[in-house]
Amino acid sequence: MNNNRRIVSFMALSFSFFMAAFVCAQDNPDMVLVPAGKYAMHVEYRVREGLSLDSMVVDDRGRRYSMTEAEYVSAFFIDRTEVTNEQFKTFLEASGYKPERPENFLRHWQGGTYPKGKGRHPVVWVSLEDAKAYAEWAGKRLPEEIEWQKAAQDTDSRAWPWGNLFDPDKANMDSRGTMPVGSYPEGASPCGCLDMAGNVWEWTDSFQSDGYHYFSWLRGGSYFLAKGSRWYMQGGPISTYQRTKFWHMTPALNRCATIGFRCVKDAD
Amino acid sequence: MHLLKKALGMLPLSVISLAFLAGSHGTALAASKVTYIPDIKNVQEIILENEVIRYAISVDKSVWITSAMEKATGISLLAGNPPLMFLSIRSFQNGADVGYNLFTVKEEKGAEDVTVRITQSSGYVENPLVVTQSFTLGQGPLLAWNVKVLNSATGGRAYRQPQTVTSRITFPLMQKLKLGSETEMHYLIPTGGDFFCIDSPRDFIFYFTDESDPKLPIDIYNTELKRGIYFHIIKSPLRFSFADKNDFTSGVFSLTQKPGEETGLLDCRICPHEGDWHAAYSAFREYIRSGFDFTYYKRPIQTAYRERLVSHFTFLYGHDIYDPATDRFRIDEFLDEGELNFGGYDYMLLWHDYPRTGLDDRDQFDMYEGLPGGLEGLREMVARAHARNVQVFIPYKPWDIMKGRKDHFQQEARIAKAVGADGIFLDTMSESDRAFRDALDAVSRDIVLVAEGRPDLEAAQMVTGSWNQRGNATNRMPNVDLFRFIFPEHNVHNINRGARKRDELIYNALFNGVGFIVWEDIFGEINRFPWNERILIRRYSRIIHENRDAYLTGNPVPLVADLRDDLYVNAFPVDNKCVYPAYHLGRITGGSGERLIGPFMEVGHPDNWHYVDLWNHQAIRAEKRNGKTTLVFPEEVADVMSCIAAMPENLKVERQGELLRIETAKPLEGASIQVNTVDNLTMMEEEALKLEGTGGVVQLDNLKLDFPYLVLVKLMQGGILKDEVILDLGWKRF
Repeated sequence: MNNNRRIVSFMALSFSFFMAAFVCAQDNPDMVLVPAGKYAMHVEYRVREGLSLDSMVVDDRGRRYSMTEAEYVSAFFIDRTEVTNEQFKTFLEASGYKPERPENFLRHWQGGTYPKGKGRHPVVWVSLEDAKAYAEWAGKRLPEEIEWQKAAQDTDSRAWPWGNLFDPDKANMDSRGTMPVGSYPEGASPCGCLDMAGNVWEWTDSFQSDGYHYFSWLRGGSYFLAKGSRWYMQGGPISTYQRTKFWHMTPALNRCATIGFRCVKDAD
Repeated sequence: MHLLKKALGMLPLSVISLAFLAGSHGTALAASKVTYIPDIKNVQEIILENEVIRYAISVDKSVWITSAMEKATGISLLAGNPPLMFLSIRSFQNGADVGYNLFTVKEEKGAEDVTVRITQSSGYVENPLVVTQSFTLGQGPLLAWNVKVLNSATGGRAYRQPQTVTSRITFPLMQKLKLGSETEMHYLIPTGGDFFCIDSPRDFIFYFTDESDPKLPIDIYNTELKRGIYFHIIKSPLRFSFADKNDFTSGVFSLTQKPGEETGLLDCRICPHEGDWHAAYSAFREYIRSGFDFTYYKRPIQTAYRERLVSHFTFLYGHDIYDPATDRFRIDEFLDEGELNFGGYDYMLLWHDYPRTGLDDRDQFDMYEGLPGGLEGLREMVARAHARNVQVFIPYKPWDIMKGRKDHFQQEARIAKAVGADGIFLDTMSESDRAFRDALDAVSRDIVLVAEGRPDLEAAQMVTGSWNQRGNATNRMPNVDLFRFIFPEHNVHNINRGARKRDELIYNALFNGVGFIVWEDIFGEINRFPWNERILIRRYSRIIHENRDAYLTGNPVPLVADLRDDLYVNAFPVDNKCVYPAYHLGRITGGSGERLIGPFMEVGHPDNWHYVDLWNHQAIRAEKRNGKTTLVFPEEVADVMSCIAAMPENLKVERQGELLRIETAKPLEGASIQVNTVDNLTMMEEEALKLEGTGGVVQLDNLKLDFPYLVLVKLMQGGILKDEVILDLGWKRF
């Protein structure tokens, strides 16, 4: 085999890899790839009362209640943006999905559709179950916490998707309502995800029970910040590593004007 | 501890009423009069006297009360004691007196009293202070002592410019009082805000309401002399708070005054008395209650609410109350479990919002709509609780202001009406607005206000229930909650949410006769009550409910006298019953273990009364000794708590072979006779048989007795214990 042929084979091989990745990306438009790798997820969260003091600011070591989990995370694709009203409508029409308990389901919709002009806003008033139904229909699933955080934070432990410096102009973190997804391109995370901070809280695949309560972890923060008391669940700007406990109770309370979601998909 | 306990209770219950002070009401006494020796212009001594007491005051650079003589007995206190007050602008040099050698005396006659006013100033130009002390005597032994201090350093008075003066002050008479033998002297002193101690907080503390509220009198008494003197400080800018008695006796105060400033330094009542600190406490109780508005306590609902003693804090996200499979509140199962574990709840406090509030813009009022069935569903749940005689309270969060609502009170009232709530719990608050009360009244006058924090006196006029969440104070025995004793109308509940050991908290509830809150799901963190505490609560619950007629008396007495140094007893008397919860500290501190057995208390009840220990299920023997009824523990008390109930004899129980014949001397309407046995491991009562209120016959075989072979025959009327006879049918013979 002469050199020319080796060069040609090499070029053919690399081109096919490129085409495979390109084709994968084409199969998953609006998704970005997060490559595989070991990842140490450091999370912090606020502990409420009971036996421990409310470490709402810092614990005695100067940090919020925290833990670190190191895992090998396989490669996955993640939605570039939060799932929109438009996308959710497509899902409903295609699947005919009707939740078993419809209290507050898509409360912001009227006449079976989203408010005019809000097509590109993240869908809200959907429960974890509603989000799972969408993800399944789309051939996707909800992100695990570690996947969500890796997509938001990459591996450099940054506090915000765009870096370590807080910047209120890079996300919708304290306003009167949702914005169209992708309104803050400068707030993108390293892999290209948008609105990982602000806009709406995002469901993760973390539903669990402690034997007494059902809960899951919300990520990302939303546009809403309850003002006036330290006793409120902390809203407003939420860092990449902050998890927020959501107690699941009634269907009506499980759906909120401030909680939406995005999906992931395995990359093989 | 030995000496301390002797300090705490000396007089039998029947003598606690202050014969000494009784003379100040009712009977017409000769008015008080004053005599000057030799005359008012050249005073050396002033005699202020009335029919019961004679005070001798001498003026010699200071003012001294040289004697306070009880006319009835001739006993004189205060002789040989230092002056009332010492005021200096220089640092103390062996207590050297800079001299107030110039003084004038004036007299004022009131309608029923006389006042002597002594104004002192100094010949030294450097001392610009002018001290005015006035003494007012009415018809009783109480001497009102008022002190004003003026910084008269104005231009021309002193050879220097007018200046701000800081004086150092002590009250030697009060602080260095000598009253009989020093080892038998004890001090009731304020310590740290709203606490009071006898000699030292390490030994014993009482607690009251709020730092800003009136303080108990300072009382110095001698247990050997059986006499004391209290100093009731009505008003003073000085801070009276001491670490312990040594801090009290050596305390120094300071006062800074600008030129020309006059300060009302002290408005005090001095009163010699018989007995111990109870005299000061009773005087204070009367003083506090006389200025208190009881309007809201007189509402019928308050009487009903006052009987609600054991409650549950219900975090609605927990699966003990919320069933996710059926999306409903499993209220019946929940209440069943409450009865099984804790003896049942009198009310439950629902908690539907915090800490979930803030994730979206639904506030506390909006979130009700999200509960199963919304407000209507909650109303059904409440109705189901009501059918089981369980009240339901809803919370109010004043801090939930994110929506900027201006109508919080109306919203809360709307919710209360929609669900049929029996009360509002004021989260993080210890007081409330009249506007809130009015908004609730517009909906129903049967909704009570309960605060998380202990209200101060003014707030307590409207907030008729509160939590006792005072950490070490509540979770420690034998601490006495004076607020509860001064205001038995107010519904106090013990709670210590993070406690890992609650037995002292539960004993404290039984001992002080207060309520208890069961709270295991603390906003998502579980702090379970272990099995032994659940047993204690079930036992406490039975006792406080079956004896609430006595426990809710309008005249509870803290720490009555008893015959032992290591036993602390409170008394809750009504006409035909008295409950004496007792705590045996000696069992814990007594080294090899002091035994609580034999005679322990003298009482003044009629001869035909029964006495039983409700906690340990032991019959108490009453023996007549020297004309007094002495109560005796026949068997050693095998616990740190006991709880004696004293009731008129009604039941007559006779064993005839294998039968028990039970009769009542006086039938009670609607009464029944409960025959219970006792579980040996838990000491809980087990209901075996129920008979007619007039009596009956019990086959002992039917009771299936085993150890400890106790049969409790209880005459019950409307859930209240009217009489009890305890039979020990085993091999023990006392």
